[in-house]
Amino acid sequence: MKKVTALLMAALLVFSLAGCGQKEEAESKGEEKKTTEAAKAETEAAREETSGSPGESGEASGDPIKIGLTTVLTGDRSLEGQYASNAVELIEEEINGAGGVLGRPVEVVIEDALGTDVGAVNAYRKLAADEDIVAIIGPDSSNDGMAQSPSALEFEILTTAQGSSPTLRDMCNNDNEWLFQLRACDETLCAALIKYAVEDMGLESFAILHDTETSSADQARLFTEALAAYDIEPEVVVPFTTGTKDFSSQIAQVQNSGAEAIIGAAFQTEAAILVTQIRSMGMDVPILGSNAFADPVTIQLAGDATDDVYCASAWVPNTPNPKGNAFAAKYQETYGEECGKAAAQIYDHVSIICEAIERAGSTDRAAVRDAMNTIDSYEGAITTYDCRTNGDCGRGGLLVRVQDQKAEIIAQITSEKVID
Amino acid sequence: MTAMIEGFRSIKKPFIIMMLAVLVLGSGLPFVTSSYMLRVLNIAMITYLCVLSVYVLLGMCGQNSFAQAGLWGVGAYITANATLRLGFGSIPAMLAAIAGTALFAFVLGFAFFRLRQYYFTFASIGLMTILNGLFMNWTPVTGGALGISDIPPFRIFGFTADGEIAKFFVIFIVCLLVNVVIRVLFHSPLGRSFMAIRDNELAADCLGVNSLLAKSTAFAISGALCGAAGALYAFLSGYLSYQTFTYQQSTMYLIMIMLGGTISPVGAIIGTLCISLLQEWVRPLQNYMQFIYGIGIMILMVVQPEGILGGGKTLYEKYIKPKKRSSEAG
Amino acid sequence: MNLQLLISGVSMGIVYGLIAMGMVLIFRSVGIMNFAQGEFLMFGGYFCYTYNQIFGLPIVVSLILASLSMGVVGVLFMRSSYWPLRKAQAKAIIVSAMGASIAFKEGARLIWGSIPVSMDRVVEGTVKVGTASVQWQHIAIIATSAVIMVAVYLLLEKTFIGNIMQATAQDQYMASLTGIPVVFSIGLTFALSAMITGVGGGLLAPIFFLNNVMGATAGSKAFAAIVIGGFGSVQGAIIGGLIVGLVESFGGAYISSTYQLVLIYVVLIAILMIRPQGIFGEKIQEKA
Repeated sequence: MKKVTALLMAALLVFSLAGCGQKEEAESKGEEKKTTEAAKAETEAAREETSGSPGESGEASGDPIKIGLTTVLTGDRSLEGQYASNAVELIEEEINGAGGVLGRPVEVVIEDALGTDVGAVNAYRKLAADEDIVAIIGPDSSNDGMAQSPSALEFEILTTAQGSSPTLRDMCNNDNEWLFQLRACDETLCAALIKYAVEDMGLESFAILHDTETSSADQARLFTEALAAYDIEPEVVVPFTTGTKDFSSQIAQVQNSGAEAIIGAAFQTEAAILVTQIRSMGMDVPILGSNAFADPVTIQLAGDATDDVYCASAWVPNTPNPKGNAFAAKYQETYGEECGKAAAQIYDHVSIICEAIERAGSTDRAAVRDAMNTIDSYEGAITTYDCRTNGDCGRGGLLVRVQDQKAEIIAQITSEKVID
Repeated sequence: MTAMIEGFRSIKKPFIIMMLAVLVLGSGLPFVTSSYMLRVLNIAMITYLCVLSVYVLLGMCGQNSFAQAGLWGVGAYITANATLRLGFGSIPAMLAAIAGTALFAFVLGFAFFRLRQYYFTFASIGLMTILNGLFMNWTPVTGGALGISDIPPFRIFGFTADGEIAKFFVIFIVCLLVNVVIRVLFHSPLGRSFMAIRDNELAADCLGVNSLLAKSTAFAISGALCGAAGALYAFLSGYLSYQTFTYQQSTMYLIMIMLGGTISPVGAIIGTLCISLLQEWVRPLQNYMQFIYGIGIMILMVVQPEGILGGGKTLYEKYIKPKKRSSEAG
Repeated sequence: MNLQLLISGVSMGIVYGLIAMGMVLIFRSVGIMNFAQGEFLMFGGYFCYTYNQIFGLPIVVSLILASLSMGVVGVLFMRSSYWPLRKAQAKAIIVSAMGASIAFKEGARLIWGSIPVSMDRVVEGTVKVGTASVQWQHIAIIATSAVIMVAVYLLLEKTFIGNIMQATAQDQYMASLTGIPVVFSIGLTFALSAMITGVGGGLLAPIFFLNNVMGATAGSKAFAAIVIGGFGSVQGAIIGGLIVGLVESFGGAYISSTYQLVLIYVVLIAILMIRPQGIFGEKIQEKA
């Protein structure tokens, strides 16, 4: 009896699975089959959720062009998701208000990447299986970009990665023609910061403090390489793990090394705690930091402690870039908080994909991918983009100094694209 | 040897029929689901192996371990290193992962099972944290935080399982084989000694069961299952990083087995499918998805503290069985 | 350098001890490890943030209000995730607490967003001790912890309510036979535990900064503190916390800063091997 019940249950489960699979199929085939009522209602609901007011778009009409976005909405890294979904609302409004793309409105479909490899890939595949989706934007992490890479090859769909690691760049350039790194590779920014520190500030000895998660560890390595170009070896390299709340043992080691300046690589919360504790332990040396050190969140958390922090940043809200400035102002006005890098990045990703669709003149996945490679100097909110090769598309960033809780821009960083 | 035979005798007709039914029904699945749902299923089957490993430890032997995701990672990284650095084929790499993880667990088991019950659980949490730290930072072996990419897919006799459907069948077959092994284990003297320890360790000791050896063996078997799951995951995703093998993942396994029910391996199937599919079904809730999911786990546990299977069994014994008895008597 | 390491090790150790104490109270009372204790810390911090930054109340008032609010949260948590399962196996309670922990984290994110925030300190600035320096906030935390520890000791050992709580902890069934309202007594324990941890969250927020995952690492170190110090003993939790803090600071400086967390757990496993019941703990009796 028990076995019969078990058998029945197994059969039931398998059938229910097949059932829900079929529904997926129906959704994915979209235009081929007539969509079922349920699926249609679902997409309607999704559209209303993401784009706010589709009725007001006015000039753009017809079926929306769908772009997928996998970002971390929930879990440990949800900060990027908050910025991303806000940015999506603004850019949909902007593009659709100006007539859309190819005369059709644009809709960004968001899936939660959960902050894990499996989550990022599942979200990606859910989007890629929908044939209406033209291109997909990956999460703000090199790990996730690398995890999604095999799926991009399998589905043959344009994928833009937000990670900035050189390993990801090489992967885009050499192994995966469908994957684009729409961002300045860390190599450019790290080298520029070290050049400024050595040549303009005249600093000679450095200590490196870095998180061991992917991008910070990469940046620490790039800083060391950039220093090696000046025959300088860091006095001491002290790693720590994400989530560390007390840095005394790390800072004590730096203090002992007697370095003239500290180089830091970490995310916002860690960067803010690190800067506060460095100052409270009485060290007033200049701090050279990765992206997050001049981030509005870091400055707001750490307050005065961020004085004398130098940073080669991809983005600050008071950027001189006209497009970026306008976007930052609009963001501030709509959401009442400063626009973070993750938001500006999504803005650029969506606009570049739209540009590629315009150039391709169709929503065919292969045509859009090919059109991507023809974009050679697109002015985005963050910087200029050159996508003739897939990796390292962003052409630069900003060199900033934080003073009185404001990021002052010292210089703009630009680099020439290396095409071999 | 006789023990093995005794275990194999347990494979009777209903079990064979059931396995065949699952085989037939399962084989049809890839052709009716989308490629996205198929990946969800593939991951769910790999997760199922890990949940089974929890079942062997917790359901059969009564020991609660939070290190299973760590062992999963050990298996995955062994596979990656064996194929990429040592040039192993797929099958040898997978066997290496299974044997390596089992050995690792067996040796640690001898140390950890000097501790009883709670204390073993605490030590396993420690092990999990240590392993995750190593995955993230031991760059020469695990590729550091950046992880290992470009792991080739499963290959056998010139056939490469690189499509999602081919991958499905590889994982599906391994799952079926493992099911048979667990069935044999369940009915073997070894399995019975595990259950004796679960029910009363002191009494089991008195009856001549070497509880330390038996528990370490159980840990080794669970390690082997995790090792196989790790190898399959490496072949499936082609990319490994520390983000996957976390303490949270281990707690997920416990949640799955507890929701399914710990009384039989079927509980592992039910729990894994429920949670894996629940996670995908709540996706349209976007921002609220994890919140609802957490509340859902709480409510399910409160309503069904014995798990879905346990709850079903209680209902069966309460309502259906007495009626049957009375009708038989009448 | 050593003086600095000692001072920061001790001050962080007290922090871990404070969180651990909240866990120990619940463990003593119901024999269950509360897997959502780290989330109490985070929620306490956010309550304090709300009173302090959004309503503009002074920080000390905010701390008291946050602590009272946490008491309510503790009771609600007890009623929803422990009480219905009190007769079920321990693992079921652990799983429901894990579900609650996910819901707490995500609930906090939905209410307060994911941008990390900060708030006022009780005392600003740092103080110099020889070559080392320590933030005043840390001294405030140590002082508060000392007061709380004494208060908890007095409450448990010297008052009638304390006796009720101890009796319930020892044997719920017997306690109910003698006329003790068990649900009240256990509810009080959860409330007390949540209040202690909540105050900790409010005091830590200005130095740790608040986000919805703040509880995870602090919670895991507090857990290590309990296991090292010994289960079910309040002074064990404090000593365990100090050991964890010192291992973290000295180990980070002299052995490896990458493996700081790993080191703590290596010590945990080593102590379990040598003395499974922890330094102060009594051995958990096995039923025969």
